[in-house]
Amino acid sequence: MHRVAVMSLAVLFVVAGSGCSLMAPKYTASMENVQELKDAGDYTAKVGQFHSQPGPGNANPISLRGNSLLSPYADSYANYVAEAIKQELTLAGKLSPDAVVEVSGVLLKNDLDAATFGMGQGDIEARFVVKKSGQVRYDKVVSAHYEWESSFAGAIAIPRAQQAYPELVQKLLATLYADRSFVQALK
Amino acid sequence: MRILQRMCFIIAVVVVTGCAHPMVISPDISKIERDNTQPIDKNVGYYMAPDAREKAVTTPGGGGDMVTYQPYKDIEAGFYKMLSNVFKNVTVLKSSNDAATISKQSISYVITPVIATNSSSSSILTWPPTRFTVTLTCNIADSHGKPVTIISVTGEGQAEFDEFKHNFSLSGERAAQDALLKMQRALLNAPDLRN
Repeated sequence: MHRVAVMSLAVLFVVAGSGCSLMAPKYTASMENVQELKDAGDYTAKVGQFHSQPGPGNANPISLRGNSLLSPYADSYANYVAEAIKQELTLAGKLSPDAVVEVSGVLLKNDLDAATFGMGQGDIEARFVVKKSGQVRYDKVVSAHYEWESSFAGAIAIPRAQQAYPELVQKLLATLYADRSFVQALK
Repeated sequence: MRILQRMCFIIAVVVVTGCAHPMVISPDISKIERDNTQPIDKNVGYYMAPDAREKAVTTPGGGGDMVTYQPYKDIEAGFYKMLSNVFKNVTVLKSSNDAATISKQSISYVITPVIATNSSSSSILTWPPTRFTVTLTCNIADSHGKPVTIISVTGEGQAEFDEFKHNFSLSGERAAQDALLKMQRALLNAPDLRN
């Protein structure tokens, strides 16, 4: 009986310790970002291809204390950024599949760190390209850093890191939209 | 492999207990669509106080656990989309009496939303709520602050174990979507707002 109990406990620890797959929350548009796009003037744009360039700091899945954080958009964080821009252009009334202006990009860095006990932090970097009728009007690398209160307890730290991901992407896009040359390129 | 995944999920939802589990109840904005009803030819502004946006609410989940979320922040994008479906133009106001913006944007109505939520679960083993309600109230005033009407709707969402194992917030998302679609219908049908 004792052996069975010990074996069961061992199995439980092995399974628990092997880490589970978690899903990042779907993107929620920032209304400040939507207003920026709306106030930018008279234009429409479509969202083109976004892909991820493998490299240091560009994690997929993101590791959170042994758990894997996956993107809810076909397991791709490049798709996550594309979806975020689509949502914000849609809410601003500026998304059009027939537009001559196209925003595309390459995800260069993408990671969250929930390993430290005080503060969690996330970094994201992407190269954004705006083309009008096939001609490049904007080509820049934009990055964002986001910090949040973490915890020693994984039960608190892991969900907080999970919830931080959309905030990190919101911050990346806020930085992009604040660049006047990006806004000019859309017109 | 399926057994391992299932055990993994059960461990995640059973072992991780004793605290309020964070979740996000944002609805899928692509599902907030208008039917063929004619939109209202007026510009509106809405105001959400910054502390309301950041307000975290804690309600019951399953197994004696609680869930925590930010209803205003989570629902705002869907709320904006719903208002855009109903009215000619929507502006986010910095205050309820943001006179400069109200004048500049020719705003006819100022809407102040109030959101109340509740949740519960029929499960004693898993924490994600199986039932969720979102009561959305729109206090609508004219551009001078004079009350025009108050409209309130309640959205309901349900999700069972097999559905929410990939999305712990599913019942909340469904309730938020239901509330927004009911509010959209109520606004489109409000004769006071077409005057």
